[in-house]
Amino acid sequence: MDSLFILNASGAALLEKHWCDDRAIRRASLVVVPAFARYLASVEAAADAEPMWSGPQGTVCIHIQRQELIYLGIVSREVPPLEVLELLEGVVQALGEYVGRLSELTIKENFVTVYQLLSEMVDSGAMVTTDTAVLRGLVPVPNLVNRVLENVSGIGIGPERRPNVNTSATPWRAQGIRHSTNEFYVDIAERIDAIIAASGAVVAYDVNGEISCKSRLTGMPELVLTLNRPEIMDDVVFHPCVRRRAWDAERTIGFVPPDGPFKLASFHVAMETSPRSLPLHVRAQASRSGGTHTVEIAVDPGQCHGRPIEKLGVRVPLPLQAYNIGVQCKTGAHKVTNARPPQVEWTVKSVRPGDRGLRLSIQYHMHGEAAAAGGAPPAEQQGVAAAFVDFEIAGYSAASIKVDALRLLRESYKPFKGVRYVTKAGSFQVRF
Amino acid sequence: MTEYLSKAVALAQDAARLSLRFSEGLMDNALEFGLDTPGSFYDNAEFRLAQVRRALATGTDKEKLAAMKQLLAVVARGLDASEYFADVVKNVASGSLEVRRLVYIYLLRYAEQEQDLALLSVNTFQRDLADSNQVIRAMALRVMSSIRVPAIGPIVMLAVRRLSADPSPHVRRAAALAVPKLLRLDPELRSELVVAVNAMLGEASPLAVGAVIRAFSAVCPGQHDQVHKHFRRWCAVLPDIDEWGQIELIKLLAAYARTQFARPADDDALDPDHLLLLEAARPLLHSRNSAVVMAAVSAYCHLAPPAWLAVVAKPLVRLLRASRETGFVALRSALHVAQRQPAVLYPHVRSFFVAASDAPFARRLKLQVLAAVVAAETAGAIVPEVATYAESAQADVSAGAVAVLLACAQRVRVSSVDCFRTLLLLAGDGRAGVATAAMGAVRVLLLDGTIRDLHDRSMTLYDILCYLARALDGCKADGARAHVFALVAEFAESKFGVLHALDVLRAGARSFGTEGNQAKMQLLELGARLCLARGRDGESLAGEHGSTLTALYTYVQTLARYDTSFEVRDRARALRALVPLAGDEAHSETMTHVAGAPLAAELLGSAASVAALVPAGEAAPGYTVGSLSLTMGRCVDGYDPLPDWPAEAPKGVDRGALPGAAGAVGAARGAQPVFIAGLSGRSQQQAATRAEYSTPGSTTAGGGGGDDDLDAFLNSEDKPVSYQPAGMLPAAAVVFEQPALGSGSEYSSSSEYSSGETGDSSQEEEEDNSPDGESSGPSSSPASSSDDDDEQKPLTGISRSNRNSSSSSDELDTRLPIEDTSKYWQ
Repeated sequence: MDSLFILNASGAALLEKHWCDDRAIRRASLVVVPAFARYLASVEAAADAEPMWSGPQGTVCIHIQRQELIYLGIVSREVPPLEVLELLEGVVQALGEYVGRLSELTIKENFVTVYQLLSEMVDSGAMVTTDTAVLRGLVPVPNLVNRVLENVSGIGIGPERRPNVNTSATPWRAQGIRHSTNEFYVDIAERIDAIIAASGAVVAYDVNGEISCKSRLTGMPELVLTLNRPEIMDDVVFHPCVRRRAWDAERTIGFVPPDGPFKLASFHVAMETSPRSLPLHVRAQASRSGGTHTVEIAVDPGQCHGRPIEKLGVRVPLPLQAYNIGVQCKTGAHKVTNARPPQVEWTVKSVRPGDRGLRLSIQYHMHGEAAAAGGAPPAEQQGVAAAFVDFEIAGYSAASIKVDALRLLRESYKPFKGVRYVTKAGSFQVRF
Repeated sequence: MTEYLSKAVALAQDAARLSLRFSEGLMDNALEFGLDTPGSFYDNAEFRLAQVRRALATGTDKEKLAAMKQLLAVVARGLDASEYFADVVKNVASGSLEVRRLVYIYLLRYAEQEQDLALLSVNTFQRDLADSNQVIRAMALRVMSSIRVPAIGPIVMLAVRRLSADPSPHVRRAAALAVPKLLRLDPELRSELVVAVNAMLGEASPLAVGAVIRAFSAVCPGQHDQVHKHFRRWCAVLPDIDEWGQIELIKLLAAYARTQFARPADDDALDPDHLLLLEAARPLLHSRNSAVVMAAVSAYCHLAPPAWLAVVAKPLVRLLRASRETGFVALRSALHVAQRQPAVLYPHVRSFFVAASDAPFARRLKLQVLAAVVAAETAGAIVPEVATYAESAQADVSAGAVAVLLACAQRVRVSSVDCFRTLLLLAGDGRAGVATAAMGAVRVLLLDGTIRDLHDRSMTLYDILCYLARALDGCKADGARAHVFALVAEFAESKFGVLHALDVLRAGARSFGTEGNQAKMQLLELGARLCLARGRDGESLAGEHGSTLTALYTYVQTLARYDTSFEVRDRARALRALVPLAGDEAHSETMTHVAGAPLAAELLGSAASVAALVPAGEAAPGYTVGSLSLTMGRCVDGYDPLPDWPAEAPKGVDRGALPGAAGAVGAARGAQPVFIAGLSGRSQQQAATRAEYSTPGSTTAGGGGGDDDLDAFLNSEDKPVSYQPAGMLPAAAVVFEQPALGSGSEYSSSSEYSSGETGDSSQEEEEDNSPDGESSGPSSSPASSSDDDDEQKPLTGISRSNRNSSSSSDELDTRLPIEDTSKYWQ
């Protein structure tokens, strides 16, 4: 990678770091970045921009968008694109851990930390490490007091620590970690990705889960996590600390945990595509009479072990030409955003298992249709004809995965152990 | 009066001066007390540069730090701060590490412009290279080797050579990472670097192997002789080294394998070393790092026998789901696989269904993948789904769906008619691109015989053509109309009949002025071909309508002659030469009309060849899977294709010794604790028992300090976001007091332990056995006791806790009454 730029949403550079010669630096900042900014402005939505874009003079602009910032890597020679993406992603994650929420302002406030991190993480355009445990040993985390004072006076206070690096065989965990209370928390968060056809048939239904942990354990503990139905996970990815052999042989997750929060594993469960298996049934139907278009959305809670469905949100983007939008619903609140394209948002705080009759009805008219009532729809009708559903069910696992046991070996204390389950909607779409 | 005025003016001036001073003071105070707005330090850095020079020369560390931060803010914003180079470089030996770090960042940015001044810093780096702290040593080498000043090449070379034997793997890694930079700086050092890198190849630390491999690939590209003796060892450590090293290593080994092994075929046995590499790469498919996964996928795609490729499907689909950006690369690679080995993706077709939230590039690629994988096995899932895309509100999805339907109709006989019907219905689609694509597909299917040859007589060619002719009324798209005119011309002599065709020509002639260029040209051709149409007896098929035909053709030709489009006029002229109008004969003796008629018919007939209609599949050359070139669809600078398989695999190559599996792991993960095998028999029993007690209230949680938390939790169990206890064994289940360093022997002991236990299905037995199992292991705790077992049988987990912490376990006994927990074990 030649250069890395952090851009704000409108494509202006906030910070730049180069690993190339002077000529390439000039090319990047004077030619490539402005051209990329123009490209970003030319696409309809920022998310439509191709992540790998052929820039001027043989360069390739590889970018990711996270929150409101764009991280752009400029490449002029063959390099695995995913390596660049992982690098950018790693930079974003490390920055997030150091400075909290990333925005234009926090980057401006912490640009020195950004530079320090970049110079540790990346060496001549290639990744050296993304492991935050390693990084914390090299670059001190700015704490609140430091941050306030630095921001004002540009001066860091506090004793200077000798930097060090853990070169043991468990680079993710240093020796001699001590905690006054020993705790270990497991969060199993599942994301439902589903596509539901207008007929109500389930076109695709996947559960993507993530087991994230928060470890505050003294010493060098060894943990063994047993799940109730490991066999249903058809694709599992582990943190490097997990012993793959043990998983292959006995389907238990054995590991020496890193300290602090970390992502232990992520898994995928292919669900059967029957409508009954979903925790939430959503039907959407579009109809038209005369010039009036109607979209009806019906939500019914399904099988979710009696748990309430919280934060239900339904977002319906309407065609670009829609106007005179009317919304009716008995439950919850709705909002019409007259952006381009206009959209309707419907939110219900909580849906109890027995609740029935949650309905949303949207009526609208279309520009350019009044003249030819009953004729063909306008030639270039924009819109996705789908409703996007968002929800959250606490204490429920869509794939019915539970932690059976978590055993601590090699240390004599008894930690407090907690498990939490949550199922959320990932990309849950209902076509109409 | 003037007095008053001057007094007033003076007063005003005083007031202004006062307020100015006040506001200045406020500014200063703001700087001191933090009333500044956030981010203003960054925004205003270039206005405060006046003090920088002085601060860097004589200031305290604090002031220097502030000055450096100001300079970096200027650098961050892309402004030029090189004029301070001389002042900054003086601080390269600053006592404060933090100042030095910032100086380094600045130094690397501008060293190339200020080469002479940059040389001043070298002495400091050389001193740091001997520092006792490994981080300082590594940092010094890293920064020194990143300075783009060719003059220091030999000095860095010396440092690399010295630090490549450093005791710290962190420093050795920095030394290896410096090699490619050094080579770029001064290519003449290559021969020296080769020697240095060859000395590094024996590197054993998983931390540094990756960097060494990167150095080797940079310095000795394609020198596979050096790889031989390390091959097996590298295969063994591949799963254990750091992620970035894995990518480098697998790239190197893949290129090596392509020159050393025979092309793999399904029925042949693989070379054991080839097999070893593939097996070593397999765990990488499950890495959390998408670049590693892709490197492993790429290795499988290019090294494995075709029948093995199924393993890459899941990783590819996982990457596809990961994020928008990763999904793009995954889709490009999946498309590559789908076009060569479609069967690999058959079980995952649903993952390629278009979601409403997909970006345009994702939709396009997904549909291309679907078109590639559609086959008899997948048509059942794909066709109904794609049929809904045909009516999608997004034009690009519908147009892509047409391509899938076309591929499906051509490849899957049983669904041809269904697909064809769906395509026909798109004739009247309001979107030009969709209708054109659909009619193009219809034309291909009719011309290549897919539909004509159907035994199913439910839809004859006659019906189809009549339908299309009628659909012309509602069809506005230029391309689509052109396709229909072409079809009518093509089949005019079939049962559809010249008379029907004549009517199509008539309708077309009437709307000629409003047609698009494509349609105009096809109309001209239709007229010409109708004029040429001859029955078996050589009579014109138009029969008594011959005069109408001539009139229509003349009319169309005349309009085309004065058309605004050059292309249409050109086509009209060409056709007129082949099929002249009535008045033409008189003054064009050179044209051999009558004799040329069959020739003309042949020329016109062959114009509509199917090959011209079908988009040339994947013309892109086969780039390496996962490469930037594949993703961009063009050869990016520096792309190095994998070598082709050798005609004859080299034989009798010594690839070093393969460390024993346990030994390899032991060596690579020296200090790792042993793994204690899971209690598989019991855990299943637990699963069955606990399934009934999944609610938080009925589970129990660990003792010690955790109990209070648990109580608090149990009282508030209806709070959905509070942590639930694990529903698991209460405390440390088995405590091993392990000697600090593990090795291969411990693995054997642990496996002994597990084999002693897995056979036991009943819990009682297990309780009895487990102390034996523990004591049989050389590393077992002397404190494990059988007394505990006798006293506290129901409390399985607790009973097995360590005696050393007996106080806490006593406490636990009092807090957790036996009857509460015993029910879990019944």
